[in-house]
Amino acid sequence: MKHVKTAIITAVMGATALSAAPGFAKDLRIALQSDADVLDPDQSRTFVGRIVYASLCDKLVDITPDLEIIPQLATSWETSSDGTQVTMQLREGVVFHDGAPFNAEAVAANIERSQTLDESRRKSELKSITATEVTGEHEIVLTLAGPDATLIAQLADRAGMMVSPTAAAAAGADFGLNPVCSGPFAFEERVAQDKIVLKKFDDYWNAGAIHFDSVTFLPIPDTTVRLANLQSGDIDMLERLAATDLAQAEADQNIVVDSAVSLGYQGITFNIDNGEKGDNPWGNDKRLRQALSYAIDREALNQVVFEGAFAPGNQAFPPTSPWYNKDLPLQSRDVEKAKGLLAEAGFEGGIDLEVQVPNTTVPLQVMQVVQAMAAEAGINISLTSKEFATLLADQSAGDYTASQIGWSGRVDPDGNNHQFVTTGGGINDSKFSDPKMDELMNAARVAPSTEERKALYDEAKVIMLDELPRLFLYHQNWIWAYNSKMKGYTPYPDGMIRLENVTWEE
Amino acid sequence: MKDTAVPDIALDPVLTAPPENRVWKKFRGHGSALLGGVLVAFFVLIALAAPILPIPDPAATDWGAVRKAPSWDHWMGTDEIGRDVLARMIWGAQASLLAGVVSVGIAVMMGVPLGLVAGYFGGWTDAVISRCTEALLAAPFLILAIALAAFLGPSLTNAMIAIGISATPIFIRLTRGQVINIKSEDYVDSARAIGLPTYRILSRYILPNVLPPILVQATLTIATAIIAEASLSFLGLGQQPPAPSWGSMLNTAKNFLNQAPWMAMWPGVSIFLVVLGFNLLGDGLRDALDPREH
Repeated sequence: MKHVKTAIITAVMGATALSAAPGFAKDLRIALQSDADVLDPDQSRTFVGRIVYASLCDKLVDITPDLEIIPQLATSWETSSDGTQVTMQLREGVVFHDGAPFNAEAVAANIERSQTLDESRRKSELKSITATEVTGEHEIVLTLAGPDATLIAQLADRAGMMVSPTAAAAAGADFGLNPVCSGPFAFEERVAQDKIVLKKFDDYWNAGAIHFDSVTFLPIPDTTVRLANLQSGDIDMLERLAATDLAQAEADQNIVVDSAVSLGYQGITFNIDNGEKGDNPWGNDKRLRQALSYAIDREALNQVVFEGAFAPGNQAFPPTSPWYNKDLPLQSRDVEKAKGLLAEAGFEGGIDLEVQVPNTTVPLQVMQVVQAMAAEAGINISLTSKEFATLLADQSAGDYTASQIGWSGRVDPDGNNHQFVTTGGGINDSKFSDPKMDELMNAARVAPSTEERKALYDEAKVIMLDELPRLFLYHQNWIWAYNSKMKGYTPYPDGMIRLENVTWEE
Repeated sequence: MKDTAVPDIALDPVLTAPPENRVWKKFRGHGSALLGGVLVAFFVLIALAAPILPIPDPAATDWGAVRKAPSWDHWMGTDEIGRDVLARMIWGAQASLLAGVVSVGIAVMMGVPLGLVAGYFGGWTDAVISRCTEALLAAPFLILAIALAAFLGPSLTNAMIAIGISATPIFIRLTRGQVINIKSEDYVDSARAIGLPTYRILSRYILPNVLPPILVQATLTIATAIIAEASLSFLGLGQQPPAPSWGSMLNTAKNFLNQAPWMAMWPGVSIFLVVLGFNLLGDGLRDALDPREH
C-alpha cells in the first residue's frame, strides 16, 4: 500500500515537472482570415478549413516545402509498370481519435466514402480509382482506369485525409459536426464564427513531435485587427498578414514573420465563348487580350499594392516553381505595342472593357491600378464589384466579359491548368477550347516522367500566353506572423500550418 | 370732430411694420441652425465647385506617392494607390450630397402624393397604401436599402433609387397624418362647399399646409440618406471605383489605419460634419416652422 502511495506521488510530481517543461501546458491560438466551412474532408471547400485539417486529419501522403511527396499514413507506394495499379504500404500502430484502428480496410472505406457520399466534393479528384483491394492488414492496392500522374498529389490533400470509418458510418453527412480523424490533435469543440478547439491526441503515432496541449483557431477577418491581436498577445500566430502590414510586423521585436510563395495565381479571366456574352470583341480577338497584357506593368503593380512582397507573374505557376517555363519570361510593359495591337484589331480610338471584381480591398486596389495603366493604352476599364459567391456564380453562368479571379493552387501542375483550359473542363468559365491544348493537357496527365510532363506543359504555355483566356498578374505570398517564443515553424508553399516539431519557449 | 374719430389705421405699429418673415426671423436667431446652414452651404459649395477648383484628377494615380502623409503637394495626403485625398474628398462630397438630395427627392416625389391620396380619400385607398407602407417599414431602413441596392446592381444611381424607396414610407405616413388633420378644417370644407374639384383642393388648400413638416423631415432624411450612401459604398454597393465616395474611401482606409490614418480621418470627419450640418439645419427649421411661440 505504501508503495502504491509513493508511486502515485512520484507520478503526480513527474507529471507536474513535465507540464512545467517548455512546450507543455500551452494552448496555441491561431487567427484565421475567415471561419472554416464544414469540418468534413470529403465535403469542405475552404482554404482555412485545410489549415484546420493540417492539425486534425492526417493524409496518406504529405509534401515537403519543396513540393516533394513524402510518406505520412502510407509509408511507401509503388505504381505498376502499366500505370494502372498503385500498391501502398500503410503505417502500423496508428489509431483514430475514437480508438478505431487505421488499416487497409479503413483506407478502402475512406476512398469509397469520398467517391460515393452524395455531398462529397472529392469525387473528381479520385475519379481514376476504379477499385480497391485489401491485400493485407496494412497493404492496399488501388486499381486505376488508366495511368494518372496526378493521383498521389491528390492524396496529399483532402482526398487523402483519413477519417474514422466507424464514426463516418455513424454520422453520415453530419460527420463535420464532430470530426474523428487520426491527426496530432482531436476535435474538442466549435463555436461557429468564434473558435475551433482541438486537443492533443496522446495516442498519435508521432506524438513526440507535438508540443502543444491544444490549439484554438479563431476567425478574425480584418488583417489589421489580426495583427493588433498578435501584438497584444491575444493570439500566438496569424495567417495571411497583409503585405502592407509587413513593415509594422517586422518592426515589432516580439513578432517573427515568415513567408512562402504560394502555388496559385491571381489574374483576369476572359469570357471567350461562355454564352451570349462570350461573343464580344474581347472574347473574339486575342489581340485585345494581348494588348491589355502589354499595357500592365506587373512590377509596378506589385510595388504599389504589395510593397514588392509578392511575385509578378505571367503563367499559372510562380517563377520559382519547377514547372515555370523559363523560355517565356515576364515581358516588361510596352504601351506602344499595346496601342499597336488595338489598332490592328480595329480599335485605334480605344475600347471599353467591363471587369467584375470581388468587393474586397485587395482585388479592388489591384484592379484600380490595372485600370489606370490600361487607360494609358486606350483601354477604358469599368469595374463592377460583386460579392465573391455572386461573382463566381456569374462567371460560371457566362454572365461576364472579364473577371478578376485567382486560384489558391495545387501541388500538381494539373490542378492549376487542366480544368481551366480543356474543352468541358470543370471550371473552364472562359469556355476556351483548343484541340491542341486538350491533347497536351490530357497527355500531361498520363505521361510517366516528370521531364515529359514538363515538356508538355511548356508547350501548352506557349498557346496559353498567345491566346490568354486567363491573363496572369501576380502570385501571392503566404505570410505568417507569430510570437517570437514560437520556435521551429516551417513555411510551406501550400499555405498550411504544420505544428510538428514546433515548440514554445518562455 | 369726425376726422379725429376715424381710427388712424395707418399708424398701427403692427400693421405699419414692414412685412417680415416670421420663419426667417426665428431661424436667424437660432445659433445651431445657422451653424448647420453654414456647414451644409460649405459642402454644397465645394461640391458644386469641384470641376473648377485647382485640384488633381481624383482618379489620377501616382505610383511614386503611395500612402504619403499630408504635405504641400497633397494637403490631405495620398491614398493606397497614390491618388490625392483632397481631390477625392471634394469629388466625394458631390457623390454624397447628390445621393442625399436625389434619394430624398425620390422619396418625397413618391411619398407625398401617396400620403395625400391616402389621407384625403381614406377608406380602401388608405387601407391599401397604409398596409404597403407598413410592410416596407417592417424592414429596417438600411437593411431594405442594402437589399434593394444588391438587387438593382451596384452603382451610385441604383444606390440612390434604393435609398429613395427605403425612405418613402416615412413621407407617406407623415403626409397622411397631416392631411387627416387638415382635411376637416373649415377652410377645406368651404372649398369643397363651393365646388372646387378635388385636385384643386389637394394642391391649393391641403398641400401648402402639410409642406412645412415635410420640409423638416426631408432635411433630416438627407442626413440619413448620406449615411446610407456611405454605408452602401462602404459595402461596395454604391459608387463604383475609381470614382470617389466617402464610404468606399473609408472602407479602403480601414485596412491602413496604422500606416495611413489620414486616409480614414478626412472622409470620417466629412461625413460627421455634413450629417451634423443637415441635422442642425433640420432642427432649426422645425423650430422656425413651428407656429407655436417658445
